[in-house]
Amino acid sequence: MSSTTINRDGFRDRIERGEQVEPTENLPREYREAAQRMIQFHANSEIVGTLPERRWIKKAPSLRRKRAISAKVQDEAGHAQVLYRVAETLGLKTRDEMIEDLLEGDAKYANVFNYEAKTWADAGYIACFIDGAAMFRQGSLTESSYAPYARGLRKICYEESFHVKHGEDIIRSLATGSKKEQEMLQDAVDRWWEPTLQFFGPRDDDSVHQDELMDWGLKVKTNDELRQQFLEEFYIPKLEQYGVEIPDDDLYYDEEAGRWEYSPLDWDRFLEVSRGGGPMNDARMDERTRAYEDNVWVRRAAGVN
Amino acid sequence: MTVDNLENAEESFVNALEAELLAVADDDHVMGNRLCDWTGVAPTVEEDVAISNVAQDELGHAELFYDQVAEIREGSSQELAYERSPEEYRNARLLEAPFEDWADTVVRHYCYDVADAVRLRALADGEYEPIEGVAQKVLDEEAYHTEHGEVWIETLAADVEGRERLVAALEDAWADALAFFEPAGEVDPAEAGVYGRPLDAQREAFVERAGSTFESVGLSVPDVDPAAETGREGAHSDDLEELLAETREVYEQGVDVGA
Repeated sequence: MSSTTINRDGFRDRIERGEQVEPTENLPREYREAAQRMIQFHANSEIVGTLPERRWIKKAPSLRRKRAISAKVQDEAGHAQVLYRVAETLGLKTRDEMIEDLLEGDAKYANVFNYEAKTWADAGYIACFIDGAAMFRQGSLTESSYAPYARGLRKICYEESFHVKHGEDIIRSLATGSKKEQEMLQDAVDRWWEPTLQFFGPRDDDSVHQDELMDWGLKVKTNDELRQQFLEEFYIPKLEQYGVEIPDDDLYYDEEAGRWEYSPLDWDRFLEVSRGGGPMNDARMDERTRAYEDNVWVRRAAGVN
Repeated sequence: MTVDNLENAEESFVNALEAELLAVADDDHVMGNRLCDWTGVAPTVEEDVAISNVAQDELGHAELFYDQVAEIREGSSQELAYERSPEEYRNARLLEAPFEDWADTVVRHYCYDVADAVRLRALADGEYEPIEGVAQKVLDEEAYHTEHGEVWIETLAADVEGRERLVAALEDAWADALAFFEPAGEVDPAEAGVYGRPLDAQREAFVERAGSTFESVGLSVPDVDPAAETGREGAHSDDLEELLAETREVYEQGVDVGA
């Protein structure tokens, strides 16, 4: 695909000027397809993202925490709702088709949800750091060229900021708590460090779709840029603030390059998990499939999907 | 007669009030936790959001009423929610079991909403003045839940399979729903002045309101007596024990308990 073939009606020029486009416009097929893949991935990630945390709602150790984590998981479902609707505006797939893609294994979602939330510290960690990471990613996407997506993300980012506060509150409580609580927090960070950094996606050199998405203005910052920004502005400062040991002895800040350097992440493992080989892939899809199939009759009765 | 300060109230009144407020709080606590089972796996994304909202409301109500009990008893709402054995719980049995399916959820939660509204109205009309505002606040929120339930009953009843499932759920739940209106303490709470309406009259009001909703879609409520075993006197199923054990898992590890 060359830029001349898809600069119909000066579309490419508009994107390069930073304009945002609406679904009612005559958007190139290639643009719609790229946007579809990206937004569908995001919507799937929100709906699957409810699964690691939902089992912790009833277990929340206070009534206040229980309402907060329930509201947080509820928001993820709400984000899925918004994002599937945004994806539908592209006119390529219905929500039902997208959900079937997901259940049939034809569509991906964020790898990070294929890991298990084993402890209450994990529930706090996910709310603070995975949602924190998501805020960096999504914050950049409020500048995306697809206007409905950018609008949806503004609302979503606003809500994510409450999740981060809720999560950080748990992190603070554990970090300032008993030795056992501090160890539980450290254990969570040890296990989630790598999946968290990989949440931003493959390295720029290895990313299959990134260049196309950047060309279309659908994405505005690269995976590596976002990973660095998250490390510098949020992840490292927060871990240091709460006295958590960072599970990478080789981590250092390269003053000259102005970036954090860390031990190589296991990208083979990342691909393996992405292809279904992670610890929780099957459990996640089984749970989602069961929820979908057990309630076919409800949706039929209600005339919805 | 009205009571605006428990320090001057008769002991029998205080005991009856405490028992009933605890039953209200336990009901909300158990129902709220049960509804959380749907978060992330509800029939549609829209319903996922709606049912989680309702769960949070019920949990919020539990906290409001545990706070009220904690003012009467020595203790905190946290202890009341997390440190009592299943036998000490006074919730209705209607609320304990995991939901069988969406129809069971709709039926049991709707029955609960209607019953709770009747009870809260009676509580607001009782002699204890300070509870009126609390009851009213909860009643305002419950109005939305009741409407949500009515829409689902109508929707499911219009579908062949939905209707069958509704009937089955109603058969299973109704005797327990009727047993909602049993005294939680030693004395009759209405006679003691806690409620402005006798329990039997509350039950009748419940049957009339909930029954007419089911009848409006062509379903009749089972002609049965209230279940003999009631959670109000501490007779619970294993389901409650399992549910409470789950809610206490992290708390009992002493992890993040101060929030």
